[in-house]
Amino acid sequence: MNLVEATGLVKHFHTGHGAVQAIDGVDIAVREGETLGIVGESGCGKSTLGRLLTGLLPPDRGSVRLLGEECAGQSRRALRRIRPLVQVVFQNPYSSLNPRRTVGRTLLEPLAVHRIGTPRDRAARVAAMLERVGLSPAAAARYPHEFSGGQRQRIAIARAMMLEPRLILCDEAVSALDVSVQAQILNLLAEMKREFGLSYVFISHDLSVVRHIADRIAVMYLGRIVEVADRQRIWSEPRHPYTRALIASVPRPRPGRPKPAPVLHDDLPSPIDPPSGCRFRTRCPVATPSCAGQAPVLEKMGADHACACFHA
Amino acid sequence: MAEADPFLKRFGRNRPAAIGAVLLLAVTAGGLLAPMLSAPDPWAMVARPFLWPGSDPRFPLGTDMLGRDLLAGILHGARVSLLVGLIATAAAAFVGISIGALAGYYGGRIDNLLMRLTELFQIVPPFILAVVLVVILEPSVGTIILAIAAISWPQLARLTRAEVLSIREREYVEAAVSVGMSDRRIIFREILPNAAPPLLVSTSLAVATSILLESSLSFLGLGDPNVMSWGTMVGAGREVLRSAWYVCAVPGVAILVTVLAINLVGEGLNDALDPKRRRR
Repeated sequence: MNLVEATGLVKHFHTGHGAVQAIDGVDIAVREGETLGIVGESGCGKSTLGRLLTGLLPPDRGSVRLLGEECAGQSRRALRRIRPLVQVVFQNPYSSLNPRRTVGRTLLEPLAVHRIGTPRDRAARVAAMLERVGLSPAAAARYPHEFSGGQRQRIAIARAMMLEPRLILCDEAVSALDVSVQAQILNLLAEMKREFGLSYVFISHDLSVVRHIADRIAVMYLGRIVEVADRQRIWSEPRHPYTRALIASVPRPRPGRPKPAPVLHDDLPSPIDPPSGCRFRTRCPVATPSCAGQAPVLEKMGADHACACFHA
Repeated sequence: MAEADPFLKRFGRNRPAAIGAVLLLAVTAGGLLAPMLSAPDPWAMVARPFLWPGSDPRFPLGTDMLGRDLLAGILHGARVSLLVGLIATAAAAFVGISIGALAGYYGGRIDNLLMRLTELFQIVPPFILAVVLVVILEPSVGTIILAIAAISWPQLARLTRAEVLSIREREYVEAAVSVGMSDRRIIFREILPNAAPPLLVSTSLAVATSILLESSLSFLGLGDPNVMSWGTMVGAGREVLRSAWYVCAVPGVAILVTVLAINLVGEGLNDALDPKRRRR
């Protein structure tokens, strides 16, 4: 069953220079119990997609169904009731915790907002959750600035877990951490998933991290999904030229070997005025004049594999 | 470190802030105990005019050109200054912070509407606006407070709006939204506490400015004719500035000390409230 089902999502941001087409026609589903990885360069709309899927941002068009219930177009009050099902862990562990609140207060807040349990009960839950994420219950009395980045990310995970959600959005959740700490946090996320039957939407620009944790991977380019497949498949037989380029750019630990030539040139085109037809055609090694016409849509390429390219 | 009141401790360790607090307490005590510490009526002519400070132990600050006790004037004037400063600032802070927070948090049309309203108050030179308001409404303590509050809130509104705009985008606010907190709770629990240091400093400065404004209005003869105020005293003394400068200087120093004390306390509060400085 699909936990979240989004169809025809469009989100444009209006700026002084024109509308930024952050998300332009995306269909995606998150299945119960899976980790969906979303990868792409910065500016491709990953974070916007994450916020649309979790109801933090209303879409301009399209629908987001959470456990069969439509979220798009709902009032803030109505959304508040379904919000506990979906929680978020953000990238920057230094700005995702209120610096003026003790860790305990921050973790209590979700329970207080939804009037769950008695005060004593809540304190016990906070202590248990702190232990579960590998911190001492005494941490509740301290302030965020007294913790390291990795510890703060554990606190952020604990906060996300307080309401027993079904889905957690991890928006670049380990990108700001040291590599050794990244591994610890990824392991913690994996343990939590097993223990509580969670699903994740895991957003990252780092393909090797997503490969490690995701069951299914969606590749985004300039506001659209260009390829989606399960982890093995996307790694072993990528179909979209952009996916191939991304995989080729992942550094491999082979000292002494000459570095491969960079596969992608130039920067991402402006999302205010994206290329016509296939948005990747301006940087694509296999583009033909026909790519400038119609935009390619995601087409099935076998079980659990879809790709939006005329030449795939 | 002892458990008891770390906030007071941090505040006390800050030497300038502690000095400011002591001075402010002294001014407050002087105002409260005015009738006991000196003549009950500061308007009463009690001695020979132009007694220089220190020349008569019964009138340590001397007397003015009408033979009124300057000490009594200073002590009674403290009441007016503090009253006007605190109430006008409280009103300005309430209006300014509410409007700024709403404009910054909701943005869009609400922001536009509220900020145009704020600018309406800012396009008139503030002191002129205060003078006009007091003249139209007849000088009294109440109208002076109203006039000062009316010209003080726009600045606080703009500052609050700017702070809220930047804090609203922080990830912990987004986390609060995803937890399901109401807008009101987010504004009061997540955003305003983090906007507190600049607002607090600005508000304490506004108290000082209000005291100065009240003195300026009184100096121009727009004070409440029934109460003795520091500004009135300076205004009265300016005619004899060359022969008896102390008549202006004594209330002038009172204004200076009070305003300075409030600024020191404001700075101290700012430092003491910042959790990043706690473990020092």
